[in-house]
Amino acid sequence: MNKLQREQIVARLKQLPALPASISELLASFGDEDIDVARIAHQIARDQGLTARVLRVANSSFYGLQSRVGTIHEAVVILGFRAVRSMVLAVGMNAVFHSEHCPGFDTRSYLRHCAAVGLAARALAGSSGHNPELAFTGGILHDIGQLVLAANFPAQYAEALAYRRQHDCFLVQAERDVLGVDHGEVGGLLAETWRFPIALHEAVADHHQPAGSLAGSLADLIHVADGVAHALGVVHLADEMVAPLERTAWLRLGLDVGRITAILAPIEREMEETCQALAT
Amino acid sequence: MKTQVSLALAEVEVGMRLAVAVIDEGGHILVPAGAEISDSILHGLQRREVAEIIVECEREEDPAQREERRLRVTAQLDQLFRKAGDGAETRQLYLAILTYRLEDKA
Repeated sequence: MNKLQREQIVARLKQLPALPASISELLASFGDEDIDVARIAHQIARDQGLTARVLRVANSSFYGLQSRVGTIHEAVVILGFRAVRSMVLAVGMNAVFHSEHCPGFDTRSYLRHCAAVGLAARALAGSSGHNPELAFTGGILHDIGQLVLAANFPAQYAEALAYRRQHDCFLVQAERDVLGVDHGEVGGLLAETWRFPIALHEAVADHHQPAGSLAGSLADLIHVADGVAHALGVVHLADEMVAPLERTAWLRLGLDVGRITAILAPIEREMEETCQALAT
Repeated sequence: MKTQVSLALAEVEVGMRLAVAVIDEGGHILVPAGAEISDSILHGLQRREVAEIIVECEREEDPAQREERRLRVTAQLDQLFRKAGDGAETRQLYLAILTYRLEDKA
């Protein structure tokens, strides 16, 4: 099997269909304070599939609303634009890729893991000075490089997945050995192509080596949340494994046993609803 | 030890805590997990003809059962952490999950 070249991946990424206008505008809005919220809400509302999934998330116990929200506009009024933006990005972006032609890639397990990382990152965000909604989005999207590989290079990625099972090694190691790149790097290339805001770029590209990012990066948070999700065994597969936690990330977040223990019950309580809300 | 039990609605009492969210056929959350059952929630569930719900309950555990559970949880964690090494932070994560599993979950 020939290893993938960076240029080959970039060329494929450039051929991807354009993101729905509502999603690319939301991405651009991270650097623009003068956005027309009503117009973007209207644009989101025109995509019925996206709207239905966003409202499912908004109405889950995750947000603890006393009454149901029925429209995107209501969700913006009640939850705020930033929360709705995070939700739309989280549920809209993963739906762009179709991984069903990659043997061995288990979309359900992928989503369960991402949901758990999103919940863990959100739970840890407040006390470490991160925006909880952005942390949730970062968690949901952190492994999007896997989706890119499964959807665009299914035969090669199937080989990396088989290698992983055969060697009982970490997925990033299997990807590097078989493909020459790992999903973090590929996610980073996608983040460049789609112009993710820097926080999400770091979450996607650096969550396996957060020490390379600056202090305060979302990569620290997603790295630890990734470890928590694997340690909870949320995908219920025998080959799941926890990677060593990086000391730098742990110390920069100021974590200890008590803080981790405190977030575990809420994560497990909200898992099924979150997975159901995110499923396409 | 906290555990979860499935109860017919007639057996549910006000003040119990819901362990798993009640979701209708359309995927809408009727009552979120963690909610304390009140009169109005109970009546709402009766109106919607919900047959049973899963609530949290406290259960005494004898020492032999506890030891058996500790061994089972430790074996599961050792499998998940088989390549995680013995770094101090990773061991703290292990300890957090072990504590949670032994205190909270059957």
